[in-house]
Amino acid sequence: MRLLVLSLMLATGPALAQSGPTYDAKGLATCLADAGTGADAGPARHACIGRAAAQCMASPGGDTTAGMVECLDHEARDWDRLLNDRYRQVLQAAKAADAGLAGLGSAAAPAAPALQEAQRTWITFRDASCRYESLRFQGGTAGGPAAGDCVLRLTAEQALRLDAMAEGLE
Amino acid sequence: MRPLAGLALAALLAGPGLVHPGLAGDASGFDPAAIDRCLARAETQGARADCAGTGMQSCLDYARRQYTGEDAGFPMANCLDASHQAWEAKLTSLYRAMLDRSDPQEPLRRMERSWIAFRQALCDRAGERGDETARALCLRDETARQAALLMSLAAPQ
Repeated sequence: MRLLVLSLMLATGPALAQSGPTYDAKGLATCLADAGTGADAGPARHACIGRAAAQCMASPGGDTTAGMVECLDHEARDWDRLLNDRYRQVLQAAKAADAGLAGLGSAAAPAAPALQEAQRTWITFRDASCRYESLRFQGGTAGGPAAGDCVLRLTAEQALRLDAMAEGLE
Repeated sequence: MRPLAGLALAALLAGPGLVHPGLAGDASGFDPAAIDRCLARAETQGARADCAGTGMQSCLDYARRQYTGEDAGFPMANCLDASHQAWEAKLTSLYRAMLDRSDPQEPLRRMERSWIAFRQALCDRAGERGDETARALCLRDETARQAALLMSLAAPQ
């Protein structure tokens, strides 16, 4: 599990006596804020992928299959929220631009359908990709975490693409 | 701009076919070995994807010295294309090696086909309004990202 490698480099949180692993709800937002924005921030922002989940997996209870799945799912949901937020933002801007150009009688290809098509094909790619990845572990207990890791990474990468597009609007 | 870009992989997806020879190492001044050196140092999938732009600076320096034409955008377009072709060749060989080891092959083929459709849609969007540099950059970066993904699947850490 490649995320476990990361976890070794990260300090674990306070060890509390509890059954489930501890996920830092602000971990991703803090990492992205520290990474900064702009053209050169890409690698630092991408380096946030999997970090909060790795930290969670290093907490008590995070090293079981169920704990790993829970940690990966937590971070995947954080990225999914970012993805949806940025998608709405970029789509809204595209629709506004299209309406403006249509008003001018422009023959330029509309931007909103192109964005929607990119998002639609991404969903198909994510599903096909993670199905392939989980099939590789078929029958093993690593299948659950592998699928969760795949969804997390692909969702995060798409969230960062849309995030960069949204940044370009400002 | 470059309908050839996705052809090598598309041909491979359709079954046994020809591999596009690529432009790497030609008169563009792009050195594809720089990518291999970067990949050899990279330890994570993210770090491998960050190798995407490796070799661009020396290619641009070379192109700006050698090119005497009028088109100010030529060095960038030419180097981006050479860089994209180098990654395309890398992705194609990774994909083919994985396919040879896969049984059944269909899940991997489906993944790669869906990725091609996604890259097309994403980069068409980037290139809307005729921004060919954005389109070429998108094709290069996404191809590098997919190569990084296949590399981590071929050798999980």
